[in-house]
Amino acid sequence: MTHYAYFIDLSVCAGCESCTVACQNKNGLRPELAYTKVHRYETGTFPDLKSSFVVNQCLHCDEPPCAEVCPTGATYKTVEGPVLVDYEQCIGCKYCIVACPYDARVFDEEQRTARKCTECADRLVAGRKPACVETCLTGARVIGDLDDPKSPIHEALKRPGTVQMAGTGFYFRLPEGITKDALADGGGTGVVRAWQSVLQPAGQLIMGGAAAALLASAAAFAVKSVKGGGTGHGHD
Amino acid sequence: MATTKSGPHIQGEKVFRFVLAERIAHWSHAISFLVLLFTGMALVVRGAAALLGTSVMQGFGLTHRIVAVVFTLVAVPALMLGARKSAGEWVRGSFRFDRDDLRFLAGFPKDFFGLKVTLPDQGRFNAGEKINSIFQILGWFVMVVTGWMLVWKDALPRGLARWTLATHSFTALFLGAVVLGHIYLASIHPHARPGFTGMTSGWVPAWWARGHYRKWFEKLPER
Repeated sequence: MTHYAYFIDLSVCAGCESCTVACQNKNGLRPELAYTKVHRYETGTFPDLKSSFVVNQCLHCDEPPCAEVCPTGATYKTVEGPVLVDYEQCIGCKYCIVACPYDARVFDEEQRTARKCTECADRLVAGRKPACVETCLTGARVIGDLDDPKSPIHEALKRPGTVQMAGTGFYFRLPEGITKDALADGGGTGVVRAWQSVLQPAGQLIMGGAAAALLASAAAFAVKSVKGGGTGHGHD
Repeated sequence: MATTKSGPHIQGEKVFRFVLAERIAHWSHAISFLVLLFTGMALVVRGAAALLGTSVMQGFGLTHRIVAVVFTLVAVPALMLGARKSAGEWVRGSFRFDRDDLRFLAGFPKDFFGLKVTLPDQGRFNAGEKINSIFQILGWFVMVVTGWMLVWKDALPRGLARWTLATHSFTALFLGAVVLGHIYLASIHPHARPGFTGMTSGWVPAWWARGHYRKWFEKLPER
């Protein structure tokens, strides 16, 4: 079975943004929309400064909150790994934008849909690399199948300073002196899960309980009137 | 339809209970709430959105936002303009519970299921209606604030947007449960439904008002 892992070596990223442009080109995105973005991250105090480029994009979570909150099921996780969207089903409610821990969903005002990176699933199926990997000038991006022993991904993941993003198949190699703080922490999904798996079911249960109680009450009065007991105004 | 604005009074076998502004506030709130609940719940009930299809869901989204304007802007001004004094008393009174109110609440479940119980005398609104009022007043505020925040949810800090969504949908479902109870009591429950006309013509049967709201009824000016 295919089990994709994606590696980005931030220690060699030159911040050229070729990945951003190649992705926009491949996906027909207007300039203001980008699935993969490159930021400069700076830390320390002058003159002891460190800086790195940081990549921000969909990490194709193992259990994607964006798919969990999607009311129509437009966003879904594939068995191979990529998280995809059926745009015919997207109603533009933006729940996914709110739920995503990596700020990776982009709203297309023209299409009125919340778009995202596909990990170039169509290319992967055809045995090709994603546009961002193919175009990366410094070879910072590597994708491969963890179940394929010959994949170059295994060598890449052995590079020192490589960290896995929890709950995803994404790995970043950080430059010396840069800590994991530079990367999005993927937190804040607790409230999303509580909303979906506790609050909404509880709310529906309370409504169901109310409906059941009033049906029971109506039934009790119906039985009473059949028996000819009247409605018996208790506090009159 | 009686259109008197002279406040509570008795006329023959009828008692005047709600002025026009109170009825407008009630029905604008009730109808807009039900439309909002229906269009909003399509996002909550699993499978509903997929079943209804994209264009219906987008129509629901638009309807939700338009009706939200009515929900937000009609009831409070209607009460302020047409029933300021009685609305003020209603709000203040809703948060005050005396001994009789507590005894009423203890006995209410029996009355709800048609069992024999003697309930204590109540004021203009009984303790159950006070609780409904508290939920409606606070619920309205929560739904309006979180709802309008959600129109711009992608501009809010993510953590805040997540809490806002969770609060909005849970409060909506909770109020949905409350309103089911209210509709049942007001239109079906044999002990409570004689009061329904209070929200249509404004008048209710005197015998019912005497039994239901004795403390209020006894203070009414005769004619």
